Amino acid sequence: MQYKDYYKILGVERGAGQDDIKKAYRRLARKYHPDVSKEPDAEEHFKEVGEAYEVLKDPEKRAAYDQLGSQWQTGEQFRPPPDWNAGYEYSGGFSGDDAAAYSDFFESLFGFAGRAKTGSTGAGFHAQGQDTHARILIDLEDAYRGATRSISLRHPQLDATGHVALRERQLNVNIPKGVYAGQHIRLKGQGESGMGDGQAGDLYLEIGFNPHSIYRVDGKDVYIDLPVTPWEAALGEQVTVPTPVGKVNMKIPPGSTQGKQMRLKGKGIPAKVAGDFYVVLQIAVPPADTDTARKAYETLKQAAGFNPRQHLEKQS
Amino acid sequence: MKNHDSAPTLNGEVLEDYCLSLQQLCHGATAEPEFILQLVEYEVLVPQGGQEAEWRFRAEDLARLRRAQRLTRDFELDLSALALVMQLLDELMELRGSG
Repeated sequence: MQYKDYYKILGVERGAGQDDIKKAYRRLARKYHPDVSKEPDAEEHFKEVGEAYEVLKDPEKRAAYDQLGSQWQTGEQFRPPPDWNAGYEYSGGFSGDDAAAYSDFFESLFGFAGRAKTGSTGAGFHAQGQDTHARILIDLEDAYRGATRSISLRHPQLDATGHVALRERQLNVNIPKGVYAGQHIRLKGQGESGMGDGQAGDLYLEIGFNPHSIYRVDGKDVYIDLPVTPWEAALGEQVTVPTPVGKVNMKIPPGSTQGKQMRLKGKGIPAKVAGDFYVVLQIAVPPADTDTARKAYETLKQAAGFNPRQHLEKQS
Repeated sequence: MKNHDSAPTLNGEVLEDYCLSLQQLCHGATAEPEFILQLVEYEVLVPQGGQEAEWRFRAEDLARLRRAQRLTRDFELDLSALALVMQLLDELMELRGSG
């Protein structure tokens, strides 16, 4: 297991006061909190920061951690000394529900002490298992056709000796046709196991889409940007448009302008009430890179007498 | 993500709009009912139905509730600050989505 330098993670000196530690944590939480951050790897960073703060904010844990000494480097192979924490009593241990968020390093130092206490399963004690949640990313095409996806989940579990172990579990799940981002699929009995005769909880799977190279999705509606030539937009033309379920032919009406949206009703995500498919026209300007093309532009300039900035000139 | 032949394939139930009761929402996110009542009071969650017993939440509200729990815990927010942060995050996501 690798040593973690909690002071370095929070960017504070080893002798920093509790106030400085709190300030550093708050600053880094604002930067890396996965619900607000745009930083890459925000979640990983935030877990590290949270773990460091969990230890350094608590005088007892901090003292125990400091006792390991300052000669360790982040990432160095580490094994705690035999009775390294003798004499320290931890009141907290894990806080909240995300035991899985802590590193092996943290768990080897503080994890067991906290969990073992709360995990007593007395005889005759029954409780329903907790519901759990996970997010699954699918392709837009999966929502049109349905698919089977495999996900792996990590559950913290108590072993026979009362230690926490992360158990990995593989599930194959049918993704029915017509789902869209933000929807949830409930899998009965796939949450945490109950205690005693208690029922297992449910697993809630939240659907999300992988980014797509050509489509955008908004709820059940799907958008595509379709490049067209100026003459296709001006004169009208029959064009072929890709959709997630195959190509369709579509007529661009004469006199179409940049950004015009054309709706194919019911061709969005096939939910109970199907979404729509929108084609957004993007007029592409051909280059004037030959004499013929330049002449054609000159002719058009004379013929059209077109001033797209007319409305701006009236302003001043 | 690859398929594993060993495990059976599970069929879940797709939750439609406004399908979760207050109790189901509590259990789904391990939340206290009191916290959800406050979120409704501050319009962070907007259920359908008049009385508490008739309230129905959207499945998306589960994700919303969990985000509210994380923000409250990690930034020590009170309810009105939480409501403001959630509103700004909604706007931000809308802007990023269309941007």
